[in-house]
Amino acid sequence: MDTFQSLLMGFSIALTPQNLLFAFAGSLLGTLIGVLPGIGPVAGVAILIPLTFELEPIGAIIMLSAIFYGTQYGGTITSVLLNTPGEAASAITCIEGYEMAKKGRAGSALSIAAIGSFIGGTLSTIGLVLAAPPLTRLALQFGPPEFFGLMVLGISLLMGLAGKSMLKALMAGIFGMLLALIGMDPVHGLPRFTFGRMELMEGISFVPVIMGLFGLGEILSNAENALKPAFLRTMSSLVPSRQEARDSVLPILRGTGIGFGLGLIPGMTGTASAFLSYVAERKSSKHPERFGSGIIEGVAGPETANNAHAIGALVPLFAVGIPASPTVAVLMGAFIMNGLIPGPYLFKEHPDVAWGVIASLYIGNVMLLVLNLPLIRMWVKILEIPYSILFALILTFMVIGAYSINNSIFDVVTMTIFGVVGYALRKLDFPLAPAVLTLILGPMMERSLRQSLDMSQGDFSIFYTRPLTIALLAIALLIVLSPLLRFLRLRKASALQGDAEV
Amino acid sequence: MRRIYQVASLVFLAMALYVVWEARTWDYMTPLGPGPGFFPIWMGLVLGGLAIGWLAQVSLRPADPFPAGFLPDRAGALRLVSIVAAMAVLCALMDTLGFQLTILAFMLFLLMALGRQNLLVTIVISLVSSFGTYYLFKTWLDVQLPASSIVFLRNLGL
Repeated sequence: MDTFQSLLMGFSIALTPQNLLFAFAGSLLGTLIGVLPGIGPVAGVAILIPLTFELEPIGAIIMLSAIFYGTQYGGTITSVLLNTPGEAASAITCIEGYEMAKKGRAGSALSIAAIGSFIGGTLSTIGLVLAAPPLTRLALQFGPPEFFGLMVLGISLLMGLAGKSMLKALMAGIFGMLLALIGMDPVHGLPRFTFGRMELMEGISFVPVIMGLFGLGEILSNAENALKPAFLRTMSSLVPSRQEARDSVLPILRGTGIGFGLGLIPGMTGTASAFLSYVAERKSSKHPERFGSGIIEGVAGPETANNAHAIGALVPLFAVGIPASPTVAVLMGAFIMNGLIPGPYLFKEHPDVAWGVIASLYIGNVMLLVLNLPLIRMWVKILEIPYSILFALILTFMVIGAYSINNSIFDVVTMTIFGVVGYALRKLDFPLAPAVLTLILGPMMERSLRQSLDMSQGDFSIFYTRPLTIALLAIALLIVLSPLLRFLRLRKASALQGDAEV
Repeated sequence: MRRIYQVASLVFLAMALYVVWEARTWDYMTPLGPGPGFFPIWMGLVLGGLAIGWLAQVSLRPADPFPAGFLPDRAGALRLVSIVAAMAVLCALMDTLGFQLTILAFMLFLLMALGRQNLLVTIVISLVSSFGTYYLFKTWLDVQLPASSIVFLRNLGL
């Protein structure tokens, strides 16, 4: 079956009434998560996973994917009206978006952001359709050593970008990996780090861990500050002026290219895409001095980029089974919970799921555009609910979510413990993204390492005799060692500066 | 600030030592290839090395004060402790009192003590989020939330 026919088959699945309903519910819930300050897409998708337990796998994944890209839409609303990003990728929008709101042009900013997000999301989905099948064919040639190399590369890329300290990023990554080791050994069935608890025999559920680290950890961080109501800007007409529409065309196209391109690279976040798009707009503008005063290009570019990024980040997941960002890692966890392994075999063994989900991305983007523009005033009403009420409701929902995974209070306890751990790690400036990625990739990484060594009967040369594995591991090593190389170069440079001969 | 980082690095070092200590009893290599102890031992050793590296890094630099906002003020600390304590009490009581009564008490506490909402708002939101949510999840989403283990309360549908 060629790509076009596969996509048509995907549409026939995604357009069934129940799957349309799941895409609709996911889009709405995603926007709500994006709107609520203090709860990002990682925790949002994790919290809502239990809602999909009763659904068929395809319905569950369609809904969770819609939640994922819906958060990107919702985050803009708070950035523009509250000067507080609903999620990190919309943070840069605060600069121009809030300035526009102060001038009474909030409606235009939100409309252009929604249109840009729609165009970016739709064009990126076309990119996903074109890029995924050839990458999948390539990935089918991979053996366990190549998969091991790919996973090491993916994790190292994320660590390289995950904050100020590579040391802390590595420690966070290993912390996640150790959590993934809890439970039965995948080959020999020996219980590891279970502390004699039956609940841990199957391994630690990643959902309460992520809810705790990201959701409860964030609530605890916010609780340090007084739970004051935010100052909300009023809405204006949603119709942008002709000049604003004209000025947005090129930023939207550039934002699509930047977002989709960076989305393909594991480790790049939507925040990086949005930031880079903002910088690109300022550099290419004829009036860079006007940036910071409420200029539409500064909203259109970044908002398009973060949505295009969200879809682009699905390419490595679908093609090779590597999550490119923490939120996609959570989505990957949802695939696994539904008995589906993302990657090249998904297209082969479950083409209905793979193409059904891809087709639903088009539909979800249309839904978000059609629904969100008229509903902006409803989201604004939600923002008027005091945070002191919202946080209590979010906590209750998190308790239900954690409990319903295994119908056990043990998962609520796990969430609470990891909430405190998440708060402490935030305080110590540890990046949490590597921990999420390794928590989900850890078992796969261990399995591919052990399968590789099983193939070579314990001979490690298998990792440096296969060209692709060597290349992947060498790049990963270079990324991990890059801070050290930079440090040595700086020392050499400072020594040279002190030399009178130079 | 340096002292806090030193303590944190020691916590990571202790975790690494525990992992290696626990994993040493498992097979490192088997005739089939690496055993269950292989991965944990390496992970533990790398984490231990990194923790020592971090300890050395923070110990070698001069002591610095806490950055602004690192420590919460008294009210902030109280809010923080209250939320964690409320979660702990919720975990302890859920199986005994059941979802509805536990969440009712949890919400009353959060909204009155921390949210400082008026009594009517507090009661309405608490009732909706406890009894209303229970009904919604049980009826619509088929999610079984815990009932009380006390027979009298269970007979009342709680």
